[in-house]
Amino acid sequence: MRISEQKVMGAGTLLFGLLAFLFFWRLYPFHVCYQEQYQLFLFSSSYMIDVLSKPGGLAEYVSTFLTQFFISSAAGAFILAFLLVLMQRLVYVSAKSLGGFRAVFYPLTFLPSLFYWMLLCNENYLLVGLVAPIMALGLFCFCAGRGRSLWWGYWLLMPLGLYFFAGISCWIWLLLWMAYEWQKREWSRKVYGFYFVWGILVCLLFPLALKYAGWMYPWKLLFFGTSFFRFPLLGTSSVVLVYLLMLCGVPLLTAWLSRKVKKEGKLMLVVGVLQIGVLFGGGGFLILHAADFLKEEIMAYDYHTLHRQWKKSIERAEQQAPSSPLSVACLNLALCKEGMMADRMFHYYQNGTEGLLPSFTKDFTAPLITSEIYYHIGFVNTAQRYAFEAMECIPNLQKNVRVIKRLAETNIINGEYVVARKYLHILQRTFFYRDWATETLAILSDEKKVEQNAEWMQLRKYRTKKDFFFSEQEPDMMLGFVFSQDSTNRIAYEYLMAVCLLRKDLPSFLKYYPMGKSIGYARIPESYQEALVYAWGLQHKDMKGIPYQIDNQVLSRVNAYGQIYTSYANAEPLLRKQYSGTYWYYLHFR
Amino acid sequence: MNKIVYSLIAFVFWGLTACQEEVIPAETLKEQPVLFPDYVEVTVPATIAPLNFQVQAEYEKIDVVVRAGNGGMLHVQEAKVARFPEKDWADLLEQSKGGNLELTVSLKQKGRWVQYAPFQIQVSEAPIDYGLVYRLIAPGYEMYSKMGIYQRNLSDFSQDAIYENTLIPSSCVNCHSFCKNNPQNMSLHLRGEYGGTVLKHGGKMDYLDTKTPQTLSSCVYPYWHPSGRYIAYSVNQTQQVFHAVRDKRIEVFDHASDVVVYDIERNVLFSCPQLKSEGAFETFPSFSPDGKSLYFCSAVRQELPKDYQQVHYNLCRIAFNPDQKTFSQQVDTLVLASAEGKSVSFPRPTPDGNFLVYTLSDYGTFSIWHEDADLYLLDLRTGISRCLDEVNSPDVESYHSFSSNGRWMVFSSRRLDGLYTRLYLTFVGPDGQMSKPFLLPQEDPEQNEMLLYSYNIPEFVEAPVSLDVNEVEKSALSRKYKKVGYE
Repeated sequence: MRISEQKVMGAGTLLFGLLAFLFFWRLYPFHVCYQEQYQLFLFSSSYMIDVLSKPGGLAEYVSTFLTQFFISSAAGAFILAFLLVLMQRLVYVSAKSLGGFRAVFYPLTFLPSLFYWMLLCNENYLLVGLVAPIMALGLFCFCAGRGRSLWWGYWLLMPLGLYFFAGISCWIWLLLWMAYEWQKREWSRKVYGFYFVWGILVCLLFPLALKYAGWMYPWKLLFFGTSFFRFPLLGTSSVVLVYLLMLCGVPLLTAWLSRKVKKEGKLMLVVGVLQIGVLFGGGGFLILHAADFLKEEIMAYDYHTLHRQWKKSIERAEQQAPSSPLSVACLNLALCKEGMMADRMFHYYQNGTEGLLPSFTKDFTAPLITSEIYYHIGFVNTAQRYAFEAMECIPNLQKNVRVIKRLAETNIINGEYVVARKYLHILQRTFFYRDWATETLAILSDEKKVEQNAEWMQLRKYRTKKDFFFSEQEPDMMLGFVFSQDSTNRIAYEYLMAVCLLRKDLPSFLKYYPMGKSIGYARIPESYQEALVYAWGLQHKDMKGIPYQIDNQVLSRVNAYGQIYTSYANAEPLLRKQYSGTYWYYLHFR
Repeated sequence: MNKIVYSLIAFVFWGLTACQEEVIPAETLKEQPVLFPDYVEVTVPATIAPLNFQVQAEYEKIDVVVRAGNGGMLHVQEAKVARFPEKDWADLLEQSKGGNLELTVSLKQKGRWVQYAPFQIQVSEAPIDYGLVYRLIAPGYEMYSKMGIYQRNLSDFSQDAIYENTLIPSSCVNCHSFCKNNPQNMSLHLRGEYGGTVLKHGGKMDYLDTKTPQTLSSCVYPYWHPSGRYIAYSVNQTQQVFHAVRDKRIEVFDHASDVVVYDIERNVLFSCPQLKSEGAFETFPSFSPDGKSLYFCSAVRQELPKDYQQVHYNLCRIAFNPDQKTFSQQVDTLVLASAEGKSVSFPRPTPDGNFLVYTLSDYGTFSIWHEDADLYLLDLRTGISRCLDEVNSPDVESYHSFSSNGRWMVFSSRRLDGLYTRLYLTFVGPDGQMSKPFLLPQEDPEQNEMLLYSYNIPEFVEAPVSLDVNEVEKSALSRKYKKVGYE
């Protein structure tokens, strides 16, 4: 192979890695950070033994270890890009080991990496789907690199070991090694047949043997060893099988084509360029098609909420209004925390109370977001429950580092220091939460230091002192009850008002509105003015005598709005441009 | 080559043994050490696993010398946790049956050794059963992740799964129960899409559908009749709600509940009007050791959830004729807890029939979420109850059960952190007096803190449980139920 070919191939790989890195870092950063939250990697022997004692355990252990670095989107993007590149290079080396390699077919070696990159656009495909095949391919390349047949003992043990370390990826090694031995022809047919049958038996029947030995997993899970998908039993096996076939097939195909196609010259150049075009063009199209930017938006809002980046949430909404209830719920919380909700919530798309306090779902993500909202209002127990439930819903039975941190916080706020310490001690076994846990543990031994934490102290003040049963169907009752115990809890008041407005329940709005005197608004917030004016208008001919201080601008706008609304049968398109940010528009058209 | 290998091994061995320092105390304290777990002055069975512990202090090394009355000795020196070799520990306890062990703890602190006053551990002659069976589940709300029923050998630290819900994802498993601690006769419930009751009886396994048109629900809380022919169950319409106030989390109550008895031979449930009354909730059945009485809890029906704090269960007893399958007309109230604004749950008679231990809380049926829940002992011969102050703590004490000989009781308690339930063992004297309880030993005591699961429904078993999980899976997934009748 000419040096220039090596350079071109190296440059191609580098470009691929760079594109992958940029994609995950700049276009998909919140998907990267999302992964980090749904696991709890611990530096402890019991955790290690627990993970390693399952088929595919080593691959899972390495994956969860690496995924903890996804706390930084740049680090996560780098790891993903690095692993995608590593896989591509291993496919290339595998193809080379299988006899003859022509640079013109180098683009084919990108296929498996491109395919898994596409799968990774779905947040439920996990890093282990890269790590486990890399282990199998790496082992194959290492063995093949020695250039001789394996000692029979290795051969007997290798499939078994790989099954335990990398799960179903042991098939990659098995099939590639059989192909390797076949083309080397150092074994007699009998020996070859024996090893082949042995390998198949191990990979196929060993999971079955484990099953009948009492391992408590469904047969399908034992066969796969480790699940590449967060929902271990959902129907992704066909996708995973295609992927694994690709990992075996591409080196074989590349090697075969390299041996069979002897032509040189321009035609081969065209073939190479065509491959590059198809792979990068088609791959790019498929990846962008697979990317779910609506979910990326929700994850972004969730990320900002988690890190109390309220302004960033609002800036994001200024650029593009959120549309999903969860994003809107995060935006509303950000607006509220920044003191803007009562004025500006209808400047953004609102989708009812689901965009304020989303209903509880048996899910591992939505309750986590809702938990944040309840936390900041002062429903500490509810925040704790939603977070706990979210953790228990993770389909691949992982724990959740974010939830453990939240449980530590809620228990500190509730004064349950002993159980808070338990969570903090667990977090001390993590890499990125260790410092926070250690600092917090130190604070817990001194109540004065606890009292210096403004957020905890505020939530202690806000939380209810009188008991009631949580009722999702009656948010106004609960918010009113909490606010009645602490009339400085502006967030509870504004959520109470927002519930009434979003439900279009003006009588309740008027009933609760006077409770807000204690908040001390400099002027009546805009959306409240709009609701008050509208409610007044329903029972009076004009605005004379309205007992609220309404801005002139609101008064003139309501008149103009009313004129258009009453003059046209289909007034919505006319009102949309100028009045879509008003409560009246929401009331009539949403 | 071999010489080099042997030399290396010898060097490593020397290195390891050389790590043990000679303890010359710079200071001798009058007080005893504060251990975690607290094993000071406890009574243990001779076959208990090593009581590994650490001291609640800062130190660089811990040195423990265990001396038996007959001159036997065990010496360990570790960095953090005093871990005793299983074999040496077992031998020492076997030699010390009926006597005491004396433990002397020294800590190396800031380079100098400090020795604490020695303390005793009494080794009882009364044997304990092979092991415990319990459920491990996160103390959550409505959802659950991984959970399972496990058996733990009390002589060592081995824990094996009897059933884990990884087998049938999203399934829940609960209410394991054994006839007189015999693992050959057991039942447990699977809940969820493929739910049913696994019944192992006389070497045969059935998968039961226990819901009948005449009963409120599938069978819930089980208790085996000593003959092995019957299992008493409650049937409950349960609701769970969530508190908003800081010191409470969950409230579980029954809108309705009855007690029924399952006849294994005839595959039918039966009951009587006294156990299914309209105006009362009946639950938590348990048979007396002679099989002639059935204990249960009963509360006057209330409007729920409004009056959930007004639900007070009394402890009742009804005579049962196992030959005729009949109940007497008369129901005796043994503990009128409602008169004191209290509520009884989990009545469990001792195997000799002299005593009954129950959980008493301020109200309701689900005592594990009631911080006020404590264990009480009723002397069935005198009818007098007393609070088991010697085992209770300021936090929750709840489910409990007895070893086959009645000399040991295991109970669940949240005393460690107020949330994660852990198991405690205590020696039960013939007079009903109990010894200071001790935490179920773990190889590393830190496990108690790191584990994100609660121990639930501890039951003693005389021998290891063997359950064919593949058969359970097959029956459940194919929904091959044996439908239970009602008569």
